[in-house]
Parts: sequence; C-alpha cells; structure tokens
Amino acid sequence: MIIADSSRPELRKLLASNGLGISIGPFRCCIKTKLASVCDHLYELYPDTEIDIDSQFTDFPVEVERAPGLRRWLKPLAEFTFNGNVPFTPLALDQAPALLEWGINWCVSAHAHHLLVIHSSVVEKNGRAIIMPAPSGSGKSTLCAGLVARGWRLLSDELTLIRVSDGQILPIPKPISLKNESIEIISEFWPEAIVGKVCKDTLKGRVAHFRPPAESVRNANIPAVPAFVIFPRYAPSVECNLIPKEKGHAFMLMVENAFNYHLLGVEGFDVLKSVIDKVEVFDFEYSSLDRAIDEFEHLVK
Amino acid sequence: MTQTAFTMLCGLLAGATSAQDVPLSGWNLIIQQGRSAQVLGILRARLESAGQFADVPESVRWHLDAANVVANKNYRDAIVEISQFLPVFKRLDIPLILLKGAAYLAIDASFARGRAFSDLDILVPEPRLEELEKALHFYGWNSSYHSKYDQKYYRQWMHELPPLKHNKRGTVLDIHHTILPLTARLKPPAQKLFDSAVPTKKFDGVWTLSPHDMILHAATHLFMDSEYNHAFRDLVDIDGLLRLYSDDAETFWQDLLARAEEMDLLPPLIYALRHVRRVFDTPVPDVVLRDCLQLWQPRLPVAQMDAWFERILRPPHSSCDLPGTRIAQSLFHVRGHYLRMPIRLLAYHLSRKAIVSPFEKENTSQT
Repeated sequence: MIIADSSRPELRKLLASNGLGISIGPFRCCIKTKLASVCDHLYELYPDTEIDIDSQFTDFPVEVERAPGLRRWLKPLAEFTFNGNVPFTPLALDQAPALLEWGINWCVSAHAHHLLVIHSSVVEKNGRAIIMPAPSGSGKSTLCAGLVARGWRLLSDELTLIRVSDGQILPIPKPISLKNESIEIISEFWPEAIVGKVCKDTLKGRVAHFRPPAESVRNANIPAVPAFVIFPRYAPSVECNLIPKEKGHAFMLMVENAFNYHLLGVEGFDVLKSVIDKVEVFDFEYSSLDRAIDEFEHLVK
Repeated sequence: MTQTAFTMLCGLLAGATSAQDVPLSGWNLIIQQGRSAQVLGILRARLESAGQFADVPESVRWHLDAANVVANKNYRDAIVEISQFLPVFKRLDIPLILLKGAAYLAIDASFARGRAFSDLDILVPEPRLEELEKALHFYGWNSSYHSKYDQKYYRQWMHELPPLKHNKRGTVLDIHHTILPLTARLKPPAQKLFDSAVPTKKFDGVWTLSPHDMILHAATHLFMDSEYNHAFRDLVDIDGLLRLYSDDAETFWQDLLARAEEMDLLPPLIYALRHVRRVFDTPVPDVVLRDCLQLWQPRLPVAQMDAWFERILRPPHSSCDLPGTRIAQSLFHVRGHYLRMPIRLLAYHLSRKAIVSPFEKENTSQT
C-alpha cells in the first residue's frame, strides 16, 4: 500500500497516533505529527511511497510538533524530535514541512556512518549516475530538478550515499528542495511538477519542495553505478562549458563535501578512490537549463 | 538485575541476554536507548567478542556498525594525540598519566572496546602545570576559555585547567591535577594518586591510575557531578572495571574499601557498588555492601538516596524516565554544585555567572 492509496484524513489519523512508517531510501522512518501542514506535505509529495504496515524495526523515529513552552502564545514554533531528543532549534510553525525534510536529512548525515555520505545531488540515466557535489547556491539542485523533469532518475538532490563495500550509490529519492528564484525557474521549466507549499523567510530564503517522479521512488531499492563526478556552477553570462578536471582535485573536493569522510578513515579513502578512479570528472558552467541537459544527455549516451 | 525499561540493553551489555533471544521489535528501544547513552559502539564490540553479532537482525546491524566507525575514529585520534604528547612530557620529565576513556584504551581494557569518547583527560602534578601548559601552547594547544573570570574559576577552585583545544586538529585536552574540585567537601589527597600510578605495557612513558584509583575516579566522576547525561555510560565503565579487576586478588574488595577510606572517597564508591549491582548484576559480594554501610552512611536513609539515584542512572531517553526523573535531575544538579563548593562561594559563582558573564560575552563578541 502506498500513501496515495489512503485518504488524507486516514493519513492524518495515522500520523497523529502510531505514526506513519515509510521507507525513505534504505532507511525506515516513523513519522509522527499532529500538524496538518506536515500531513499535507506528505500527502502531496510522498504519494508513491510505500507504507510499512507492520514494520517491526524503525531506523529513525521522528516527530514534528508545536514546540511547548510559553513562547508558543507569542510566536508559535515547530520542533523536530529524533529519538526523544531535540537536535536543533525550533523554527517558525509555517516552516514545519521544511523542518521535517531537513530533519530527516540530518538523521541520515549524522548517523549513517556505514556509508560515505556526500553533500551532493545525484541523478542517473542509462545506468550511469552523475554525482554533482557543490556548495549551496551553485545551482546543483536546480540542474538536478531540470534533469529529473526530463526523465532522469532522481537518486537524491542532497545526499549521495556511497556503499563502502562496492562504491555503488544507494538512492534516497526525497522531494527536491529548491530555493528562491530556482522555484520559479523550475516551475516554468517543468509545468506538470507538483510543488509543496512555499516556506517563506527560512534561513535559506524561500524554500519549496518538488515531488519526485513515481518511478524514481519505486526504484529506490536499486543501487546505481557512478559514471561521472561533475561540479556544476550556474553563471549567467557563459555558454555551456564542460571542462575536464584533474582527478586529484576532484577527490579533494569530494572530501570537502563529505559529511563523514573524516570518520571513515582508510575505508573512506579506499571507497572514494575506487569511485574517482572509475568515473570521468568535469567542471561544468551553464546558464541555460536546456543546453545543460543536452550536454548531459550526450555524456550518458 | 532489577526489571526496567532498559533491561534488554543492560542484559546484552552484561552478557546476560543473548542477541538471538531479542525479537526484531525489541531492537527499537535497544538502539534508541543505546544511542542516547552513547554505548552502541561498546554493545557492538561485546556482541562481536561473544560471537553474537551475526545474530543481530540485518536491518539493525548498521546502527552498531556506524557507532563502531565513530569509536574507531576516536581510538585513532587518541593514539595520535598520545604520540604527540609523549615527547613533550618526556622532555619535561613529567609522567603522562591518562584518565577515563584514554586510560582504558591504554590498558587495552576489553570492556571499553568500542567506547566513544571526545576529550582526552590527563593527570599532572599541580606544581608542574604552568610549565606544561607553556610547552603545550608551543605545540598548538590553546585555552578555549577566554574570560578572566572563567580562568580564575578553573585555576583557583577547580581540579582541572580550563580545557585546551588544539588549533589545527580541534581535539580537546582536559588537564587535571586532582580528581575533585579544590573547594569540594571531600578532600582526596592528590599525591597518593601519583604515588600509586602504574606504567602501561602498551606505550612506553604512558601511565594510568592504579586499578583501585581508576574505579574510585570513575565513581567520583559519576556520583559527585552535577550533570547526569553520561551517567549510564559511566556506570558501564564502573561495571567493566570491577569485573576486570575483582578476580586479581582475594583481598580486592577489602583493599578497595580501604583505599576509598584513605582517599576520602567512600560515598561515591558506596553508591557505585550498590547501583552497578542493581543495574548490571556486577558480582559485588553482599558482605561488601554491608561492610560499606558500617564505614559510611548518607544523612538521608540509604534506601531513599538509592531511589533518587535510580531515577537518574539510566539512558537519557524518554522511554527510560520514571515518575520523578525530571525532579531528580534538577535536585541532583543542585546537589552536584553543592558538593563542589561551599554555599557562599557557590552563591557568588552562580550569581556572577548569571549577571556579569552574559555582558562579558557580548563584549568579547564585539571586539
């Protein structure tokens, strides 16, 4: 049974009582909330996600609720709870859906040290995955959303999970998070996209989440083989430029974008080296999404 | 072992429960509580050495593996830091005495395999502190506390220097010169700790406290403190130390009590023995528990103190809270402070912290 098979009131009831058990990539989450905004977010953006009816073990038990305390009467806040603890400061109540998304990302990046976790988008076509590590604001999520809009498989817009044993990528296809003007760019580029409610005034500005394609969600348990590591940069005045890059430098940039390379020691080095050895690496500057996608299509032919 | 919300976790840690007898749903609380208490790495190491790791359901295993990755990282870091210190200590002719997590690592204690720890704790004779601090400063270790008052607080009243942080590696070093604040009610004579310290086999020039003193230190750290979020893990350490050393000599328990009396540390030892046995079934003989109470008794009836401690010596996870846990935490927070400083000094310190320090912070952040 997937989320779309249940009705909104049924989902609401489940979220407010025992919690909604779902698989998000390789992890089983149990989400509890009494907030209608979070229920709507899940109903609209996770329709193809399988509900674990009698899952006996949960990796990440999480809750998003109104923060208690006197402040709730002045400025209502939403609080994310993991494992009975509150790991970060509460946000304004209308940012609750974004808080859930960030909270789950944090659960993964702060705990999944059996994997090498890279802050990076990753998409796949024709069995060839492209890893796009880059700092926030470089346009990696925009490019990722553009590719997904044109039929690429979404593996993740934020977290590239590399299995230490064989260097393969475990997909974790969550809604794609876009910020500020990217929201309009992608809404125009991908008119049939389903977009969640826009959260205003977050630390990162305006944030909206885009529903991942059903097929990407259905295939979340099929690992992908990395074929390229590309460092994208949106630059308004340039043509599309794919510039070959030195592998040593690419390795170091992957380390910089990794959440837990420093913890993994030799294992982390070995797996990252095996990935970098096998892939081709490029810097990539682009201004037009269409041109960028053409270039990527050409790469994976 | 008394029945609690975390009996399964304790049973697995103490070897009384085997992994194959735990149903899949039982692992939810074990993993959550173990994560809150920071003992998942230890749990993995113990299951592994008991040959039971393969009995852990596959979907659960990664939690233990991930904790093991962190523990291994802590281990590697500690080895690096120890090797960085050794030349400094050798040149100054000061013995490098490790405490707590680093000490357990240096004696290769099996009970501490997989134990995560963040800070390195060492013990240095008080007269040598200044010299050592200067030398370490040269190697990149700087004080992370900048306000004059904080410096005074540590140097005049506490049992340790303000923590030093390495400017490149970011590791934190706590240099102790005794095991309780100078202002505390109990007055363990620090010189005796140094006199009976023992060299380790693993590293030339690295020392630890004697077994008895290690136990007393762990107990003191746990039962005289004001923060109890590490209480459960500290109790795991004490259980491990007692199991490791109690078979060494027939007179182990009498010697331990005698040493506690000599060091003015009977109260924490007595609580430690009562509570490890309750939680982990540590083989503390009945007669020892009886003898203890001949030597010292708390002002409140001991059963009442036990009931309070029972409320805070548990993994800091909501599933483990008993009615009264929150109150007990607040009360024991106050108790911890009360045991550290005489009331008048404490009143001065807390009001100074509440009224003056916030302004000091603002000033330093502006400059």
